[in-house]
Parts: sequence; C-alpha cells; structure tokens
Amino acid sequence: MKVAILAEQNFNLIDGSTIWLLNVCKLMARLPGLEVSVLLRHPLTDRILANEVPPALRLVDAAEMARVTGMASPTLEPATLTRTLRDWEQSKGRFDRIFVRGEAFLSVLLADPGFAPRIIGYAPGAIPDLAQPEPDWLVLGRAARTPFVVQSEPAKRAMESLFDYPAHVVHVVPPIVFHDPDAAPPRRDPATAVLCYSGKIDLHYGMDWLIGLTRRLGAEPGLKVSLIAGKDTWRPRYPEFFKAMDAFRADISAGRLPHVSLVTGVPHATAKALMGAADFAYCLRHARYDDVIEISTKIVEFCTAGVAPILNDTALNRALFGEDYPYLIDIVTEDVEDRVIAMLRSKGSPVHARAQTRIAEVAARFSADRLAGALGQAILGQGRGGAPLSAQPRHVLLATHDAKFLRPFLDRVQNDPQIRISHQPWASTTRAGTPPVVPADADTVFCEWACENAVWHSQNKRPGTRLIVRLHRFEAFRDFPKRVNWAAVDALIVVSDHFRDIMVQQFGVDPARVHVMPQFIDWHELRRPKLPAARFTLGLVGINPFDHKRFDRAIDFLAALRARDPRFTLAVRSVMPWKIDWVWNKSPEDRARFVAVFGRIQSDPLLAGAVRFDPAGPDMEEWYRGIGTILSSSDSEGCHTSVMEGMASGCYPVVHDWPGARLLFAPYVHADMRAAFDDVIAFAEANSDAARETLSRSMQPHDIDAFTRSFFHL
Amino acid sequence: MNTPVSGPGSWRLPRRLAYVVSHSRPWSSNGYAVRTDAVARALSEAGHEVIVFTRPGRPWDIEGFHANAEVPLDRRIDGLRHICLPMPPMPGARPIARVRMAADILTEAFYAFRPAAVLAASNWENAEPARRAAGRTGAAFFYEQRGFWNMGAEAETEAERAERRQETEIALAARAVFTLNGPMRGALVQRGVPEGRIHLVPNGLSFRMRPAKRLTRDAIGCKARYLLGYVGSLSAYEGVEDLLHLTAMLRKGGPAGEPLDVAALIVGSDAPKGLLGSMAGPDAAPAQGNLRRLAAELGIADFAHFVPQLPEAEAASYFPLCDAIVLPRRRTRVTELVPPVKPYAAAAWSLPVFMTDLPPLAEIAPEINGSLFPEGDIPALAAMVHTALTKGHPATILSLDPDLDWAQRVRPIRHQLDMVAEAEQTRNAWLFGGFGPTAPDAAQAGSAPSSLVQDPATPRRFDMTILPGVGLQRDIGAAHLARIGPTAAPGQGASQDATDRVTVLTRANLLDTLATAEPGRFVIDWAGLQVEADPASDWAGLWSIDDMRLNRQIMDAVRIATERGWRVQVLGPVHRSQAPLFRTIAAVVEEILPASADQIAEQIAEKITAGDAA
Repeated sequence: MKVAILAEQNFNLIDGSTIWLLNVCKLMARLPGLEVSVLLRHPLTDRILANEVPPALRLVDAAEMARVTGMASPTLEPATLTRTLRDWEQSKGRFDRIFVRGEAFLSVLLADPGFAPRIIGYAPGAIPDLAQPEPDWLVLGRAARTPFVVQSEPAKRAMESLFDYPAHVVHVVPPIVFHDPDAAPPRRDPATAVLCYSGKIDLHYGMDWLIGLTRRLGAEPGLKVSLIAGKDTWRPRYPEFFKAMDAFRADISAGRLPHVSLVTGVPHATAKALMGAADFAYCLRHARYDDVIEISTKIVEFCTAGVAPILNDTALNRALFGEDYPYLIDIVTEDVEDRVIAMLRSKGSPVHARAQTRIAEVAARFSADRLAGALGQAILGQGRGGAPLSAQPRHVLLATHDAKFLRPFLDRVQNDPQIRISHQPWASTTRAGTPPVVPADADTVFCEWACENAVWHSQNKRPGTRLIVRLHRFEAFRDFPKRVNWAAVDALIVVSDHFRDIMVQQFGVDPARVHVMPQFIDWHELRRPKLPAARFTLGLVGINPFDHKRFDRAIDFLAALRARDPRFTLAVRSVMPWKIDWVWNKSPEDRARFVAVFGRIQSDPLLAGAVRFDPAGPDMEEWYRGIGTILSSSDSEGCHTSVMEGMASGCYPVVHDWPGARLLFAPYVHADMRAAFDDVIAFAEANSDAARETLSRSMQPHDIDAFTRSFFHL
Repeated sequence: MNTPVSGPGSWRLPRRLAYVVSHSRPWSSNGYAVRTDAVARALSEAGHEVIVFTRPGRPWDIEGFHANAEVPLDRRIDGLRHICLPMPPMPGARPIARVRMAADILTEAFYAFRPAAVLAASNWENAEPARRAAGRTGAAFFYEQRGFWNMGAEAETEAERAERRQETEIALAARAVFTLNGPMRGALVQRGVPEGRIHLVPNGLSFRMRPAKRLTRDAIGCKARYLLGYVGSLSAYEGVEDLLHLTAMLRKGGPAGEPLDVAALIVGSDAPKGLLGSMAGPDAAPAQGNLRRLAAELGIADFAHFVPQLPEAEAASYFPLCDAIVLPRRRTRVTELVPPVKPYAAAAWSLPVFMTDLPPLAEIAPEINGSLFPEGDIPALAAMVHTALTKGHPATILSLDPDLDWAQRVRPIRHQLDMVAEAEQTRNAWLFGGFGPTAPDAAQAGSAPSSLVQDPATPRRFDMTILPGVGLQRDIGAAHLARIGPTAAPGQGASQDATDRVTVLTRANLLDTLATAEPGRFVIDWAGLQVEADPASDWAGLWSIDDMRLNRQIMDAVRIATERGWRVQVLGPVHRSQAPLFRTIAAVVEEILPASADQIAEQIAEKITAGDAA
C-alpha cells in the first residue's frame, strides 16, 4: 500500500511539530507492507532532521516536486496543492492513503472528491469557539467521516461532543517517543542537580522566569542549568524580553555564569543526549497556554529519558501525572523561582524517587510499540488485530434505501484492500433509484433491509453470486417476505431469535441459512469511565414513534421509582416527535398522548426537575458516561441497540418484555418494569466497577469486529 | 403605552428595523450622515424594512436651526423612510432627564411602528433612550459604535470617565456591537466587551453612485492643468490648510520637481454637525474664511476654489473634476482610532488618494490603493503627488474589490437581523397561529438533527424548536435573571436588587429556560461553584476536560442566550488551568472579576447619583 505523509511544517527547522513529524516517520517505518513517501512542503536545505528519517521512507521535498510536476512556487501552497499532487501521482503512482497535517492543506484536499476518500487528517486538538464559524476542514471531514488522528483522549472527546464528529473515525495517537533500551544510562553526578530547558526561546515558555531563576542559582551550590536553545520567536513583538535574553546570553558566553551551559542548533540526537543528562526539566508555560489540552512531545521525551518535568498545575497535567505528582506549580498563586529551587533541592529524596517512578509509567504509555498499532489502525482503518477480512478479493454490491445502520461497517471495510463495495441506491423501500444492475465482477449482493430490494435480487440472481439479506424488524410485518424467493437467498441476517422464528415458521426460510446477528456495537469505544452523575441517572434513547417506544411507560417507571428514591433522574436522548412529520402527523391520538406525557413531566410533583432532554447527536459514547441505568420501555423492537450499547458502557438494563427481548436480555426483562426497582437501587448503591464490567463483557460478542468478520464468512 | 412585552398584544414586525441615529439626511451631510444613509440603504436593499429615526429633538436642536423651518416628520428620501420626533427643549436639564424623555418618545414611536430590532448608532446619549425603548417593547437592541467622542481631550476628566462607562454599558447591553475597524474593536475589548459579540462593519463605497449633474472645471472657474480636491468637513483636525500649502509648493516647484500648474478644490464647511449651509446662515463658515485668507497669503488665491457644503450626491459631482484627493488629517486621540468615510467616496471614482499615515487610514490604504504620508510633511507629500500627476498613478486603473461595497460591508448586521426575524416569525406564529408547531422539515425528519444544517461561514446556531419548551409552546413565564451557581446561598452578584426574578438553572431546565423566558441576565457563578465544590452538583466538572457533554450543553445554552439577547455573565476569575474548556464560550460572554473595594464604592456612588437624577 502506498502512503504519503504530507505536513505543512518546515522540516529544515527543529521544533515540537517537526519532531512530531520525524517520530511519525519512524513509527510508520515499523508498520509492515507500507511504501511511504514523506512530502515536504519546503525545499530541504538543512538535513538535521531528514538524516534521522529511516531509509525505508522516501523523502520528497518541494524542489523535487517542482522538478517532476512543474509546480511554479518554491513551496507547496494550498491554492495549487491538489493540482501538484495530481501531477505527481500521474508520473509516480497513486497514493492509497494521504496522512495530512495542516488546516489549509486539509481544507483543499477534503474539498476535492478525488482526494477526500483517501485522506487521514491530523488535528492536534481542535476546540470550538462560539464566536467563530467551524473550520472548513472540520465541516468537510465530518460530512465525509474522514478519519482523524488526535493527540489525547480529551481532544477526541472534544471532537465528538463539541463538534459532533463520529467517534469511530477519531483515533488517539499521543506524541510518540523513541527510546533505545540498550543505550547506557547517562552519568549523573549525585551531588549536583541539573535543570534542563530545551526548546524555542519564546517568552511564553516562561523564559523570563527561567532567566531570573538561573541568575539566582549562581549563589546556590550544587545546582546547575543546561539550556538547549532553539530559534528566537516573536523577537520584534517582545523587545524588552529579548534585551534581557541577549544580556543573559552575553553573560553566559563571557563566563560570568559558570553554572550554566548553553548550546544552540545542535542535532536532535545530541540534544536528546544532553536532555537525558539532566535531573529536572523546565516545562513551565505562561498562563496563556493554560487551556491547552494537547500533550507536549518534549515533556514525554523528558519522561522517557528519566528526567522529571516541572510542570504547570493544570487539569491536563494532573490527569496525566496524577494528583500527587510533586513537581506541579500553580503559576498564578505560587512563587515560581522559590518553588523550582525547592524542587531541585529534592534530588535523591523519596519525593524525587516517587516522581521518577511516575514518569516511567507515563513514558510507558507513549512507547512506540504501543502506539504503532494505534497509528496503523488510523491509517489503514483496520479493526483491532489488523488481519485482513478476507483471503480472496471480494466485490460486494450493497443494495439499500438506507445505509445508516451500516455506516461504521462500511467505514471499516472500505479500508481493506481486499474488499470492494459498490452501491446500488434504492429510492425507497419499494422503488429502485435507477433500474437495478449487478456488476459483472460482483461476487456478493447484500440487501440491507428485506424490502423490494430483496424481492428483486432474489428473483434476478446471477448464478455464481451470493445473496445476503438483512432484516431488521418492520419488514417482517410487511408483504416483502412473502414475495422474496428465499431459495435464492444464501444467508438471511436477523437481529434476534424472535425474528428467526418468524421467518422460519411464517415464511419457510431454511433455518440453516438464518443467522442471528444483532445490530453491531462499537464495544471498545463504549467502554469509557462513568461520570459521578451517572450513578442515579436513568437513560432512554429514542421516543418515536409513540406506540413502539412507549415513552409514557418510561415516565411511569421514573415517577414510581422516585416515589421510593428521589435521587433518580432521567436523561432522554431523542429527536423530538414534533420534528418528525410521520410521527407527529400520523395520528391525533398519538400526538395527544405525547402532549400528555410532556405535560405530566411539567406538572407532576414527582417528576419536578427530574427529566432532562438532551438534543439528539452522534456522541453516544460520551453520553452513556453520564448514564447508570438504561431503559427499554418499548412494546416492539428489533434488538434495541441502545440497550446493548448502554450495557457495553456499564449501564444496568431494565427492559420491558417486548417480543424477542428475553432471548437477548434475560434476566433483565420484566413484564412490569417496576419489578426491577430493588435491583436498580441496589446497583446504584453498590456503585461497583466490577458489576459494570460484567455487564459490559456480556456485550463483547456484538462488537463490530465480530460482525464484520462473520459477514465475510456468510 | 400599555402594550405588554409578552402576550398577544406584543407582536412586532419581524423584518422591521428602527435605525436610531444622531444625524441623518437631509439635515446633515457629514460622514456620520453619509454612513447612516449607506448602511440603511444597503440593509433595505437586502430586504429589511429600515426606518431611520433621527434622535428625538433633531433637527430642531441643531445650533443655528431656524425654529420655524418646516420639518416633514415622516418622509421618504430616495425611497428610504425617515422619521423626525419632536421633543420639547429642556434648557438646563441634566443629560439623564433628556435621556428619560427621549426614551419615552421613542417607546411611543416603537409601539406604533413595531420594529423587531433597534440599531442605535453612537453616541451613548443617542443610544441609551433607544436601548430603553427597545427593552420596553421587546425589540432586539444592537449598537453601532462609530466613534469615541469622549476621547477628544488629552487628559480624561471625571465627566469623560463617566461617559466612557456609559458607552461601555451600552455596548454590553447590546446583543451585538458593530464597529468600524480593528483599533476600535480593540478599544471595546479593552473595556470588557466580549470580543465575539463585536463585528466589523467598516466604511464602504457605493458602486452605483453617480453625480446628480455634470460639472466642468469652468463652472468653478478653474483653469489649471491639475486639480487636487478635498471633500468633507473643515474641522480643525482635518488639516485642510495643508492642501493649500501643498498647492503652493507644487506651483513653486522645488524639492518635488518642476513647477506644476495645480489648483485646489475644497468642498465643505465647518458647520455644526454637518448642517447644510443653506440652513446655517451666513456666518456659519469661519473656517472657509480662514482658508481663503491663507490662500491669499500663499499667493494662490486664484488657484483655490471653494464650494460650500452640499448634500452627498451633489458633492459627489465634484469628484470627477479632480485628479487626486488629499486627506491631510491631523493626529488626535480620535483620528488615531476612528476611520473617515471620505477615502471610499474618492475611491469610488478611482481617484488616487493621499492620506496622513494614521492607523485607521493605514488600514484603509491597501483596500483602495491609497498612499500614506507622514503627518504635516508637505515636501514628502508634494513629491508623491508630483510623481502621480506627471508619471501616472496606479489607482487610476484600479479595479475595486467588490467586498468594499456597502452591500457586503453590512453582512454582519444582516446576519443578526435575520436571526431576529426568524425568532419573531416563530413567535408571531405562536401568538396568532394557534396550536401546532412549525411544519417540520421533511428532509431532516429522522436523520441528522437540524442544528447540524448551517451556513459554514457563520458560527453554528442552535435549533431551538427541538426543545420541549419551544416545540410545545410552553410559556414558563418571565425570568430576569437565570443563574447557574452553588446550590447553597446565592453567591456574589447573583441578585442585584430584590425585584430580580431569579430562575435557578439545572441541567434539566437550562436550555428550555433560556429559549423561552424573556431575556435578561444569564449568570454563571463560577467563583461560587469553586467555593462550593460539590461533586454531586449538576455543574461538577464544568469546563473540565473530563465531561465534554456538560461543556456541550453550556455551549448550546450560550448559543441560545446570545441568539435571543440574554446578557451572559460569568463570575470569575476563571483560571484557564482549572477550566480549559472555558475558551469555548469565552469570546461571547462577560467575565466579571471580583470588584475591588474602590470599585464597589464607586458603584454605590453612581447608584446614588442615578437615584438623585430619578
């Protein structure tokens, strides 16, 4: 597979983002079966980083691109990027995947249908701002469900909940750090504590404090400072600071500060060696960086080298290093210089030893071996495990009027080089979009929903193809099954035993060809830590239409439960009925019943303030984190995926006894849901992670990976 | 004045805008009036029903106005409706008494005209009555900050400080503030106005404006080969005498090169508030007299042509006579911040424009290909003009960016007015349409929530019709103050006075309350929540990296609040290290820092003063 890495950074310079690029290159070199080109935006004039790129990767700089494509500008520019890439691919071959960092590059590539399906984006940490429109790349990527790599779990959750980005295409690959386990440990003098700063000379990296601090350290025996300086940034903007910085540098070079060493522009490997020789790392930043939720590569590098970073006391750093990490400084209320000196003096103490244990744990989380799999999954779109879905090439024709329940499945298989999916859209359950045709090389026809699509394909099956039909629920009660030629159907997927029985008994389908496969869930994504509020919060997903979902029954349940224990509340996640024409205008009776339930929520003292309506949205994984008990109040369901998802997230289920429910969810199914009160209260009281884990494990067989693998063996 | 803010009698016309201004045509033709006319016209062409309300008492209170001149109270000027509202003179009255009287007059007018939105232009004395009247009639209030009139003097007096506070209060009370350029936005942000609620509506030009009549140089008696023009007021800070010095230097020749046959044309007067000359009497133009004397002293009396101030369209007919326009503004605290409209008027004629190098003019220069010279540096200016006249100037072949058109400039205002119109239409449908929510959009039924459907160029909006309170038309009554805070005693700033109606917000009622109650203040008592620190509270984890759903709910709440005109205040300080996700909303809310003892004393003193006035 041919993969391109395309980044906007200037690879001639060393900074956090070019080190990131270098490390991505190294990580990519570990993934088997890839032919990787690194497309550099600028002409390569300094090989300081390029020399460290593994030789298996091909470096292509802007100058080479220009020679091959006739590109006029000296650097790759957004305005001409798609044209240049197209010219390049014409002579050098097409890339199967392009991993892109840089908002402007992403925006133009995602706007071009020739590139969009091949793009994997990198977003270090996108946070919305209500005053700003959403960025183009995000709007385009969300619509196309473009895979994105982000740096941290919070960044992923922000993409999901704040931007409605689908969870299954957002991958966390934290900053990667390479560590040579055979390298000799650096020699450190136990009598001296060395504080190291490595990075750009940027006022906002706390350089003003560092200068003051370093000057003070001259009077403190046994304390030294090692500076590995990058380029000056914002020099014209902060003349006062750079006057102080220049005087500081002059004093160092004149030998007036013998406890300080300063190097500039050294190779990355040399810098790493110098960093490793220190005991503490100066990683403080001014308050303007306090709301950053990305992890700095530099901090991880220090941890890997066994150097304890001194950090701002922020939410992110506490989450990463633990509440009791001893080297956090609150820059607003504390005296930075005093605190740093006290920390340096702690070398060799139990506090220092504890910090070293902690940073070793942190470093292990960022090891290359752990992260190569995560990056591979993002780039290749493989499921966990990474094995191809099929040994032979397959071409599946998907015939359906509505593929929404298949989207994660399609996103997953589209990345498998062995599998090709073509689409035959149907205009409705009863009409084809255009006259249906089965391509000559299709080996399988997959009818999602057992409607007219299944009728037509069962009567027009081409010999040598396999026909697979998936039936959800409502089709079983329509006339389609009567008209399907079931002898031509090689496999019928149903979502529960209940529907298997109906199909076998009423329509004479061969039981050997019926496969019970409930709607898949993304089990791994759903396993997230619960929030404290989840404990006494019930959840209900979907209330439409009234006669299926029986919102009134859920409200009865809540009111009666609150009469016993008023700590419980209900969160409802659903499109509102008045927003769906066929629900709201179907029957005046149903509408009146909805109005009555909403009225009761307002007026019944037992329900006062106890029902929250959360606007519908895709971030269900985050939503379940706030739910402790999942309800299914329905009269009729296929398999009620939200109960399966809720259980996977660790919710306790309370399921009304709809046909088929017992085979899926026993022993949590009740003819009268109130029978579950004791269990619901006991579960919430126990607040036990082990109990939640047991519930979650029971749903693992329904993971999308299992479904996908089974599908290609039908 | 019994029409209620809520209830069936409270309807407003969704697309009607009351544009309340200090100066307008036909009584004034200064830059202020030119901008008023251009903005009103651009909005009106975009489909908004604009009515220009001249500040109550105008034009009668303009200095030199003939008391018995006939003033049509309601008339259309080139199709645009203008209303004048009489107000009895109040000699010796305090400003606050005038404000109250003007507010009553505007309130009556708004009850009659039923605007859904009120846009008031500078200054606060003009805007404050409009704000009060908008509040009484339930109209959305917007402020157009056009200048900082209180910045005239060098050292700030007590009165100026008070005036600055008034200006800030008006800006904070507005649903959105429109201002003219980056430096002015910066000044507003410095005063505490949330950056995300400030939108730039710079001056622009009209590509369609053509002269009322064709003029020739003969008509003004000009025989010179080249003509340099200035069209505008002759206020001292405009530095128009430099145009005469320039003309003299170019005629003499010298550092700039060979002598040139150049004349100067000066169109304008120094009449108060740009009042047109015909109404201002014969003594209204002392500045012109001074300039004439200076021209004589410089020996160029025959090459300096003066035309009294004219209505904008007539003044425009002098532009094609000129070879270049010179705007030799002086550096003052105002001119360092506030941009004039003149450069665009000149650019519309593709004339080269030479301007003093001041920040607002430097911001305009690249748009119109203008040239900048150091303030008062006549030799430098002469060299530039000489080259332009003799060797050609690129401005003459310039094709102007269509974004400079007023129609494009007013887009931020249109965006806000469209939101108001949409909300009012829904509201009127409730008031008059009886039961039944708005027809659901078939395309979105069952698929993506409609809040995902959006114009990508604007911040994302929240579809309030998905909320039960809106969708089922529940009226939960008025709330002047809706508050997120500790469950225990209300924290600091929670209630300003006993008459505040307070709604305690929970995660269950948050969105519905903000979407249905009459907008007032929406307070998030962050400081109080920190003190309480209850892990079981609805708001535990607010703005942390751990609970993104909660952060999303607050974003949606603030979207609703700002769209409906709530004033959103966060009681701080909010340390970003504890609240990294605060930045999702920080740009559109006020962060209130704990008042120092001095500030509290000052506020009390102010209240006492205000009480006196009342």
